[in-house]
Amino acid sequence: MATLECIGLTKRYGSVEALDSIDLKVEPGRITGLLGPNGSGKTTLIKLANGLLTPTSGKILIGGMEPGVETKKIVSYLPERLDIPTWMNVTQLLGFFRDFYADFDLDRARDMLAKLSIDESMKIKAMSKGTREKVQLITVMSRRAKLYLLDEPIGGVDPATRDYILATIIGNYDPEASVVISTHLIQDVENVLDDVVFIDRGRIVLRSTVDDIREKEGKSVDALFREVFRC
Amino acid sequence: MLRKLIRHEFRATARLMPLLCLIVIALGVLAHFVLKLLDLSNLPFVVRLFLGSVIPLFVAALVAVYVVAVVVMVARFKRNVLGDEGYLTMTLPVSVHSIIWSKIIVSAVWFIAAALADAIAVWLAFFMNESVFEIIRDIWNGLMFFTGNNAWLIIEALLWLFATCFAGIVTSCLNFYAALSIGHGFSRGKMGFSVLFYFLLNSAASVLMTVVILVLSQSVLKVGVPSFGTSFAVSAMAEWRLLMGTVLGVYLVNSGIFYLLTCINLKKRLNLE
Repeated sequence: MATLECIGLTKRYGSVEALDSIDLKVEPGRITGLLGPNGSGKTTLIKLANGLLTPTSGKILIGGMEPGVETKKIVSYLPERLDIPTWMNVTQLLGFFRDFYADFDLDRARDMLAKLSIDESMKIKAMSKGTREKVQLITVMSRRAKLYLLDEPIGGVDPATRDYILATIIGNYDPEASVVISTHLIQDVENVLDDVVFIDRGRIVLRSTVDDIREKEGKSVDALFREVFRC
Repeated sequence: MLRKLIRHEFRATARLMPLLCLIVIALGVLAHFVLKLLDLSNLPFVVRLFLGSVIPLFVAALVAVYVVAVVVMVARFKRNVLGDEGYLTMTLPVSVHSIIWSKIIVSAVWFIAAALADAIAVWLAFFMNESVFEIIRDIWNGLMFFTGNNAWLIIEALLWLFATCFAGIVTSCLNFYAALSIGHGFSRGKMGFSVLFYFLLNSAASVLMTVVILVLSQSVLKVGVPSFGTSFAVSAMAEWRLLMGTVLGVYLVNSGIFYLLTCINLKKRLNLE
């Protein structure tokens, strides 16, 4: 069974069509790049998968279920914005995640925090933007989820932090789990991807494995992306 | 999960409200001593003026504790559900109902705490020399005289009053939540629309309450000139029961509508930036 499946998924905001009849399957154990320019519908698709939006028509299924309380138990979501309460310190934040997610691995989180020398007694609001993003990523990747939905995980951070984030994603997801990474920074992520989905103005314009693109097209994903989305 | 949500909700809001309640109580003590000093006739005018300014400050603090409770309730809902934290809150494996109820329960507790802090502060300021038990006993004796020594009637009347007040608090919270959740469904002018819908919903609820009370007062309520004693107290109690029951009923209807609006908007029209 596909971890994430979209069937004729459409989302409109008034007269604006954000997603137009999307059909998509993400299989277990794959890392999929949801690639497209700004405003192409990537975030809308991820919000729909998280139940933060409801489809105008069509269906979106997580492990065969429509988004709801049960799917939220198996989805670990990294939004493009900082969503963790800034009044908490790291210990309180870890306690919060452990309280609500049965799959939260506290040891894994503490291990990652220790490697980054992040003090657990430190308040989130006292941290730099980069450190906050790292803490947020640690909480997301410390869950043993079936599906990780990462919306622009490397947007707006320095190259060293990008490397750390990608290494954390690769090093911590369960091989049976699926990862969907939404981004327009292709060059940085293409080495970690198994599959790519190019999305433009709410429509899927290309779906392929990374190996196929390299073998058949003789190009990198980044080069193909630049060709497809040339202005 | 509701219990966990409530626990975290208390942690998030407990940084301000207990402190404010303590400040109000401390101002009550200060006001008490100021009032005592003002009784002394040999104080210079400037000193009396300075001391006298503590009393308006105390009254302002009594009001402020409620205002802050409302601000905390609104800000918490806006930030935690409709703001950036909403990405975390609304993807927790809990139902929308649990999220709303946790916020209602915690807000209601803070409103009750604010009322208790105000009551303690007023007692400290004005009645500290008298035993609080004597005051309660005098009130109780007065009520017993009024009801012809029927304690159960007094208890029932108070229970109706508390239940109605509690329903009023819950309705107020839900009025804010419904307005915020509707207003934040718009792509622009979220707070403007929230304020607009707050007044629209509040006006509709007030009109309903006024109409029902007017109809009730014209048709049913007819307590005559008091002739204290058991029979008067029993008939007055019947009307009190009817009045409070009706007000409670209207609050429940309003709460139900506000709750439904909040749920629908959080489920179907959530519009996180």
